[in-house]
Amino acid sequence: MSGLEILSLAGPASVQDGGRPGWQRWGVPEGGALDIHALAEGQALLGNAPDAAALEMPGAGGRFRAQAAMVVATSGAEMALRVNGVARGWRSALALGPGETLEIGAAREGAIGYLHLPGGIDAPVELGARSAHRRAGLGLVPTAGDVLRPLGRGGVAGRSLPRPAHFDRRCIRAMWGPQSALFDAASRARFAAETWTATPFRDRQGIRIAAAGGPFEAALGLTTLSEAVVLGDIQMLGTGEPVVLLADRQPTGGYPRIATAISADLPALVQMPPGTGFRFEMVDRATALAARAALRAEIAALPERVVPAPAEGLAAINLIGGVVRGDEGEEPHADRS
Amino acid sequence: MGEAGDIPAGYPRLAAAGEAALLIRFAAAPAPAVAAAVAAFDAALRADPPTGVTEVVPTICSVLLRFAPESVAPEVLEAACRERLDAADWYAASPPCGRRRWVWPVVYGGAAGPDLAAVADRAGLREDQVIDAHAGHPFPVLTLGFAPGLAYLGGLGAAFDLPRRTELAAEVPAGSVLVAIRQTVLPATPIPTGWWRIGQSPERNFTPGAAQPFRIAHGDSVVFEPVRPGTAARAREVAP
Repeated sequence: MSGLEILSLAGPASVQDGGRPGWQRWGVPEGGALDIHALAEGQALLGNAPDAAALEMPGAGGRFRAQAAMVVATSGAEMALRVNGVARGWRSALALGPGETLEIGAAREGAIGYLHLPGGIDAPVELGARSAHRRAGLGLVPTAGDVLRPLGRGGVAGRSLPRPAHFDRRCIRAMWGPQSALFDAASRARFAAETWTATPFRDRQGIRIAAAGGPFEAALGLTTLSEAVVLGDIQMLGTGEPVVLLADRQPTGGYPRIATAISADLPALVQMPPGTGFRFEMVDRATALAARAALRAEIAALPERVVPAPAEGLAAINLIGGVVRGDEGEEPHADRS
Repeated sequence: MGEAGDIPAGYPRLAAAGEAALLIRFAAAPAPAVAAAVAAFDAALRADPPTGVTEVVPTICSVLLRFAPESVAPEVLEAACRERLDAADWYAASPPCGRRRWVWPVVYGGAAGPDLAAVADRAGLREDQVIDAHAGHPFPVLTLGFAPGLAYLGGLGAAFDLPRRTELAAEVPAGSVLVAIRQTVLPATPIPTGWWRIGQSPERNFTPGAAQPFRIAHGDSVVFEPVRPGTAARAREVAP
C-alpha cells in the first residue's frame, strides 16, 4: 500500500503506540507514546483504534510526501505545519493529494508532536506492541527514504480538536515512594518546595529536571538495591540531579528514587519546552487515582470534542474529493527535497 | 519462620510504588532466604493472581505488583497481599517448580574478552585461572533488568570483586559476558557499560519474534562452558 514517504526527519522520531506492558520481568521497557493524551487526540481525529501507532516527533517534525491521496492528522505539541508550502492548522485531520509535501517544523507550543495515519502506522508487532525501542531493536525507528504506511483507509479531513488544557499545567503532582526514606527530611521538604526547570536533557527514557537551589545532596547510604522501576519515578543521579523516568525507563534501577510523578500529569511534564519552570505538589494515592480517572475520562471524550477545523475548514473539506491542485502530473516518487 | 538470622526484622514490607503498583520487600539486603522468598512469592502470585494484578516483577529482594486501579481498589489488593504474606513462611519456601539450569557457551579472552587480562591482573591470577573460576559453576540468576533479556548472575568469588569502571561507558555487543561486583551480566542487546568484558557468547537471551523470546528466567541458574572462537556451540538445558 502506498503511504507517506519520509523526505527528512528533524529529530529522533519513532513509531509509538500504547506500549508493551507485561514484559518487565524480562527486562523489557514498557515503551509507548510519551504523551498518551496526544496519541488519543490522533485516534479521535481519524477514528483510529486506541492502540493505533503514530509517529512521535520530539522537538520538530520533518518533511514527508504523500504517495497517494490520504488523510493524516497531527496532535501533541503544536508544530509549524505546511502542505505544499501553505500554512495549515495543527491538531487536525487534513487531506494530502498524491505527491503533496507535508512539512512539520519546530514545536511552537509543547515539545513532542505526533503524526497519525488512518488505521495507524504499519509497523511490526513485537512483544505485543508496535512501539519502537531503539536500543532493543524493537519496532520502527524510521529514517529518510522510509515510507510510513497506513493500516487502514479513510479518515475525514477538515476536523480538529481544541488545544488541551494540560499545556498550561505548571504543577506536577507526585507521591512519596518506597525509597523516599533514603533522603533526609530536609531533602524531602526541599524537593516539595523547590522551583524546578524542565531541562533540554531528555529522551524517551527520562527528562532531567533542575532545582533552582542547585543539586541535591546524595541520598543516605547509597545501598539501594536494584528494584523494579515504575512510570514517573524520580531518580536522583549521583550528581544530585533528578530524572523523571518515562516510557522507555529501564525496568530496574539502582539510583535512589525520591518520589513518583503521577501518571495523569506526565503529558503536561513531557510537553514542557526546555526552560519551563514548574513545581511539584505532593499528593496521596487517592488523589493520584482520581486524576488518573479524570485523564482517562477526558481521553474517552475526545471523539465528542472533534469539531470542523476553524478558518481553513472549508478549504480542507474541498480537498477531500481530490480536486485539481495542479500537481497530479508529477512523478509521485521523485525526490523533490 | 526459617533460620532466624536470615529474616530481617520488620519484613516483609508492603509499600505503594506510584499509584498503580505495590512493592513487597522481603529484606534490604540479599540473602539465600530472601531469594527463596522472592521466588516463591512471585511464583504463587503468578499461579493465582489476585484480582486486578496485571504484572508481577521479581527482583533481588522484592516483588513489584502492577495493578489496574480500574479493576481493584488498592486497599483491597493490599489486604489480599498481606493475607498471602501471612499465610506461609516465604523465607523457608521450597524453590518453585519450573526452574531451569542452562549451560551457556562462552569464548573467553582475546578479542571476545578484551578485559580478561586486566581482570586477571587485578586478581593476581593467570587468565586460565580466571576462566576456571568463572566457567563450570552454577550461578543463580538474581534478576533480569536494564535491557531486554539481560540477566544478572550471582555466585562469583572474591577474584571478581571488581568495581564498575566510571569512565565513559563503552558500548559492548549483544552476547558479551561482563563481570563486576561479584556478578556476571549477560546483555542480549548492545548496551553501554562500565563492567569488565571477559568473554563473548554466541547465544542471546532474547530472540525477537520467537514464540518464547526469552530463555533464562529469574530463579534459573547458568553454568558457563568455555568454547573456541568460531564454534557453533548452543546453549542447552541440563538437569539441575
